[in-house]
Amino acid sequence: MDGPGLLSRRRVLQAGLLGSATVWVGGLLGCTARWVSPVATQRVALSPPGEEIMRAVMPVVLGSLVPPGGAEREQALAASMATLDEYLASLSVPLQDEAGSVFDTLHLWPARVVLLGTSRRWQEAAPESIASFLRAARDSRFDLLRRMYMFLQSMAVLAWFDQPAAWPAIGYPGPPIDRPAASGGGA
Amino acid sequence: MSARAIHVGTTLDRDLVLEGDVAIVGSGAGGGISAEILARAGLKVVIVEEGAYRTPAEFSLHEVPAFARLYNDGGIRPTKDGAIAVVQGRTVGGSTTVNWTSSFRTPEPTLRYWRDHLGIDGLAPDDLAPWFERMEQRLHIEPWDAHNRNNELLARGASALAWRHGVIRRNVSGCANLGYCGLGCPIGAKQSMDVTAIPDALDHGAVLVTRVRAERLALSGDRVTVIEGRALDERGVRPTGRRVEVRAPWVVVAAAAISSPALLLRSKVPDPHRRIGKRTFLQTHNYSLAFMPDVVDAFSGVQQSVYMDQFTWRDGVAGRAGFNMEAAGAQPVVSMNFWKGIGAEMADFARRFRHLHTLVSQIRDGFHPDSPGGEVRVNDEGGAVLDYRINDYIWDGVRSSYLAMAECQFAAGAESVHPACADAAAYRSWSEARAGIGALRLRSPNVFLNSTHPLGGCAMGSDPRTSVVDTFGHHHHVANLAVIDGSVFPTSLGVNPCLSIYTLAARNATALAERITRRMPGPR
Repeated sequence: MDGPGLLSRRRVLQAGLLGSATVWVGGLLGCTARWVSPVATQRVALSPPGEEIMRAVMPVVLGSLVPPGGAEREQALAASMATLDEYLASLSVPLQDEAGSVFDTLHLWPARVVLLGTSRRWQEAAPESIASFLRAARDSRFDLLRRMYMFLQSMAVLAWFDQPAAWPAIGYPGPPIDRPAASGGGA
Repeated sequence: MSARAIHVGTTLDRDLVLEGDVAIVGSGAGGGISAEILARAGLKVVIVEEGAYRTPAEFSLHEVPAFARLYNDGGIRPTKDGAIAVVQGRTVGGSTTVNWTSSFRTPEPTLRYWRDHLGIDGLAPDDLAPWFERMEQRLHIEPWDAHNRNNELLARGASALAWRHGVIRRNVSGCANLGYCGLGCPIGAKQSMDVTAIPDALDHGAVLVTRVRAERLALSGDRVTVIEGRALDERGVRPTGRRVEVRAPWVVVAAAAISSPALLLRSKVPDPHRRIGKRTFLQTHNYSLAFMPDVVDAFSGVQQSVYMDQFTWRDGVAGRAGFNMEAAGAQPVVSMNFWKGIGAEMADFARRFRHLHTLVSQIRDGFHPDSPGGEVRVNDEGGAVLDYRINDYIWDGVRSSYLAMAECQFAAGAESVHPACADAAAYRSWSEARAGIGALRLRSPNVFLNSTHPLGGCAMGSDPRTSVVDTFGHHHHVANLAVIDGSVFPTSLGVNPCLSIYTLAARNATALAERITRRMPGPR
């Protein structure tokens, strides 16, 4: 496993090649081989690979704002995944597909080996590996990797800060009119 | 008053055919005002809207549900290269339902540029004044000086630097100063189309069809004969299979920039000079974050009430990219999304949320040969794609406005300033910021850019070689088609656009009503 820091030049180059291939590979996967969970999921738009990746990425992006463990952490992450699913489900079909392709591609083992430096699954990857991947992607000279960073970081931020459980830590009192959000898309 | 006629596409159990005197695609600033004026003229109006119709009581003030339900693509409709997120409402009322109410008359330098450089007649400040007044009255547009702290700090910084600034006027009635305008006004105080013009049009016999996407205008000769629409599921994402047709002798397209030109392109409307979709402007927004020694609580209180326009026309109307400056405080999801750090950087940043001061600059485009705007095209699936290239002209505007915002924030007492750019550092003094921003690498998507003001793409003008519609919105080549929305502006505006759209819509819909009723046989 690599320590924190930038990816090596060699790995960045490999990532760049993968990057340019992502659209094609991801596009193909999006059409033909979207990973299907054997367990029934209630999600509308967040695929199982997407959920696995975002559950791993969110604590890395949010740092100490995410409870370190226990039921509190699980509850916060589960609520965030539901929020993210609601959001993704509202996007137009091409954008939903693009998000799905990014997740599908990142979920493949070659992507994990190249980008995270581990063949482990996202849920088992060390937070330090994920953090170094994210920083390297943000600072990359490859547009596609920088876009990947912005996507993952933004989705983590969006899902997290919509949770009432996230508000006390930042001093946000919540909406001035207490009117719970109805569930689902709603016509 | 009889019951209002509203059809919801999602729940249609059969295909629907509607007929009227005028069909309008879109219910935002352009479509809403047009619907009211045409319906009050005694015409049978049918409005087709892709979004849903929600009452103020349905607005929860939670951010993500609001983005999912009230915005097009969750507020992140991306340009082709993903560098800029376009923020547009997609609900009855369009962007007026979710905008921050900042109402400006079209600046005189903009109108003069249209006259002197683009040959546009009849839109001088004096010509438009009565129409502005009419809309200001209709929508209760008044100055708002109960500034929240975020706006006060903008005024303080601008005063310290002797930069020209002023009080923003807003379209509200009974505003409770909540500061949640972007999520839909929960008390119906904002005078957006969903609580003003649309209900009024409905009370005058208009028919509203929601959750129906106008896919194509079918043409016969030089006339549109029918609007072909597809009903959408409850999220407004996938077609249900039900089809909706609207037949009317007159058609108004008011689906806003990007979607209006895309509809015309999909419909293969005559376009001999290939003007449709060209010159689409974004008035690109960039942001600057600062931490103040005292609590700011920018998420509370009216979000925009102070403007600063010292640099909007700094180098002449046709010179370097000018920009304005406004406050951009908001709730946590929007505010935190400006910050692209991770781990401890993110957590430390978020914990100082109450001290966060946020400014936005809008970089006007379209007034210079190096600022041709972007182009809307439709892909094989009929989807709209805006190809907007950020060139050195725009980057110059980004860097200049980063500098000005940082200078303003330090002048207002900031402890640190951080441009909303993943490659930027936090600066602790104006001199540090000046050096840092001067040397900052500007690249997409690390510079956070978005636009809540997409404009153009169906430019108005008197010359069909350079425009799509005439200055009353009538299409140059299709006899019964008008475009009445923000897509007709031939440049960006240099200010928040809603009042300019209301006003041009009032003028052009009134002219259209006269034109139609004159030709109609018999008393009405």
